[in-house]
Amino acid sequence: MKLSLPALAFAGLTAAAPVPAQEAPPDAARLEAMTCREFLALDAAGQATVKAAMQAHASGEPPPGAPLPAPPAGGAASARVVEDRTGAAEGPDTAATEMAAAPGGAAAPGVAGGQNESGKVAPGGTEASVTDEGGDLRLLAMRTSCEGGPDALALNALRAAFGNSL
Amino acid sequence: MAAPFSKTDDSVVVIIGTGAGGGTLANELAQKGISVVALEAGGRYLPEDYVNDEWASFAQLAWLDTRRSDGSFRLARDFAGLPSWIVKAVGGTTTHWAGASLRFQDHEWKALTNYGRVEGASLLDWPLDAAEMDPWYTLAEAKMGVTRTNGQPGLPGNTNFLVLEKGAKAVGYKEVHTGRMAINSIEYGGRQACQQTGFCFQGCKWGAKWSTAYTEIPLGEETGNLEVRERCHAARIEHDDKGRVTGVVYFDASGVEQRQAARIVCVAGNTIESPRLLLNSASSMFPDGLANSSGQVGRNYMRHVTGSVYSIFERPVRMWRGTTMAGIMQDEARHDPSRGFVGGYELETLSLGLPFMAAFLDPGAWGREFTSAIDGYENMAGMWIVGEDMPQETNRVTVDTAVVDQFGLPTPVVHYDDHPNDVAMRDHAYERGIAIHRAAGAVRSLPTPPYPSTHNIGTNRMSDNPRDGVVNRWGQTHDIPNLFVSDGSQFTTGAAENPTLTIVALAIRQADHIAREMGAGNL
Ligand SMILES: Cc1cc2nc3c(=O)[nH]c(=O)nc-3n(C[C@H](O)[C@H](O)[C@H](O)COP(=O)(O)OP(=O)(O)OC[C@H]3O[C@@H](n4cnc5c(N)ncnc54)[C@H](O)[C@@H]3O)c2cc1C
Ligand code: SF4
Repeated sequence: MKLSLPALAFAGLTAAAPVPAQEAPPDAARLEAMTCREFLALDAAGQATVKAAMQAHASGEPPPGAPLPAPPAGGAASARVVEDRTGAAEGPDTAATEMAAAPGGAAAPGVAGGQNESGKVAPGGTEASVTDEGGDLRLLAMRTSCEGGPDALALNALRAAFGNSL
Repeated sequence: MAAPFSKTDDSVVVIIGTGAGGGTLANELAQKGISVVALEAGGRYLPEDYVNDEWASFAQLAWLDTRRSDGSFRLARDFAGLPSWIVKAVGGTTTHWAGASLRFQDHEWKALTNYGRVEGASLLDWPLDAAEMDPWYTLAEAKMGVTRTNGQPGLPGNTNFLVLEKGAKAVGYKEVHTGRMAINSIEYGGRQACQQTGFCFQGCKWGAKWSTAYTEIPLGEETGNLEVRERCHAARIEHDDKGRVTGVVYFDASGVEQRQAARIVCVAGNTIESPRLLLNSASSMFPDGLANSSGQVGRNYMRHVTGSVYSIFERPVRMWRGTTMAGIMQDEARHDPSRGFVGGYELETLSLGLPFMAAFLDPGAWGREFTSAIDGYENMAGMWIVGEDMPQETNRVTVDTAVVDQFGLPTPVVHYDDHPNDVAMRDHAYERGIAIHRAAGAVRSLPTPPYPSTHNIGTNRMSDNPRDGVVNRWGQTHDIPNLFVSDGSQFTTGAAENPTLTIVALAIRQADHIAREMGAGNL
């Protein structure tokens, strides 16, 4: 069933089709297969690189120059993934917890990059957030989308982070 | 194309109510080729009709017929005529709900066994367990597109979540994320992703949040096997001299009394209206109401241990931006009697708009203390407590024959007293909630009393033994084989989790059972 909402006029934008595999650069397969567990296992710089590459990939744009980071030593299993009660993957602290304290900011896509009441464009449409997180709001949105859902595709977390604006 | 069925067609299944339970059941049965007439007291409102304004939306969709609260809980004083927040519309309360979709924890299916006897509480084990429910939960999660299940990514966190996350981690909690939400984080089921507009409680204008109003109901209607009769208020259920139900008498949109014949009747009017309907259907054969040989109809009303913590920070939070409830801290949901109570609770992010905040922050309050809190609204973060309350036989829905509604029907009275376990849990949760916000930098915290009940459960409880409850493990009444209960009133105990995912899973399971039994000629 398709909803006959005017709002759904935007629907086609929410999940931009990935570049078909045969035309895609060699990293594309890795980006498409990367899980949230793997994404969260990367350090902050690695996550930023992956996010930029995924953003380009999902928008059908050429990849940015930076090479994708290697998976962390010990593999994805070393990531500390905030897990739900029914899951199991708990490991030593690395990326996920680092990110929580790292630069970030208000993450929700609908508010990110918005115009705040004082008229200046502020991260996440907020003044400096009480969380003291600044920086890449979409990355923070992707991180919060991924946490607690280690098996989701990181590319889908990127889509969730961008909402309609990818 | 919706099928119009004759009112004398006694081959149809009649479902009363089209919310989480009734709407899901209606579609599931229709998909199996079973003819269904769904009677719905409210009108049909779709996303384009919803209003992004708290009180206007409440006036549009909430159930405002006469009801009365009674008992020692604060709600009876603060909102005497509004014990619960339930919706009267096609889609029921799934239009206003927030979408939090959690499974019960394994031990919660067997509360009596795991908690032991608690004085004053009527704890009972469900006749079901986690293993039996697992496949039904999986189906429900797939149907509803629940985030963090079936590969769906989580929703991105808003600032209210970031505050919760920062504080919770600072005090040592681990299970913190943006929740399992029946809100699309990416396009799914022909519906688009959440736009973070923040009006989840008012009906989602984007259709990103699952609601039977625009998912299950139209899907069922497309089969040609489902007819939804809007603005049709069921007044009583009739039976034959063998004690089997035969039809439902209702008032149509013009207030004219009608009767729909039925092979099977499924009651899904929510935890207050469902027992009311059974009680109002009393007859010479069933003088205490239908399915009430145990005297349990209306008893063990539960509403979860609730309450909120709002805190004011030095800088703006603007908690109203983004999803209303996509944030959860689950570490306290475990059963750990060393905290001074049995069962557990979840802490979930919550934001109210300014109009609701003024009404609910401290009902009846005034003066500088109150106005300065409202002045701090922009800098406020909020969270909601959802904990397992103790079932008590005396917490119950009865009908007042002296006060009748617009159709001349006796009206419901909701009696509720907190159990000491509930009070201990709420106090613990307030303390932990404040600690979380303080750890994130809060300068002032405001523990806030419960609002009109959004989680209404119990009153037609499920039990193995007919003496202990109203329905069996299939939601079929112990007394009348072709009468089912299909909503949250079936709950034996409440668990710490928001109830709707379980209501939907039970409805899918019940549809399977009804179809099988009809096929075998047993119903
Ligand atoms: C603001 C809010 C937020 C919530 N958030 C969450 C959440 O995040 N997660 C969660 O799990 N739950 C949440 N809930 C609770 C959730 O909405 C309910 O648990 C769920 O909808 C109950 O399903 P139900 O089938 O029992 O009843 P409902 O969904 O209420 O459906 C009952 C239907 O029956 C109709 N009806 C009643 N009597 C009659 C009659 N006599 N004749 C005809 N029709 C009748 C009503 O009009 C209504 O449409 C929330 C509720 C509210 C109000
Ligand atoms: S925040 Fe998302 S789910 Fe809530 S009303 Fe807006 S679009 Fe719908």
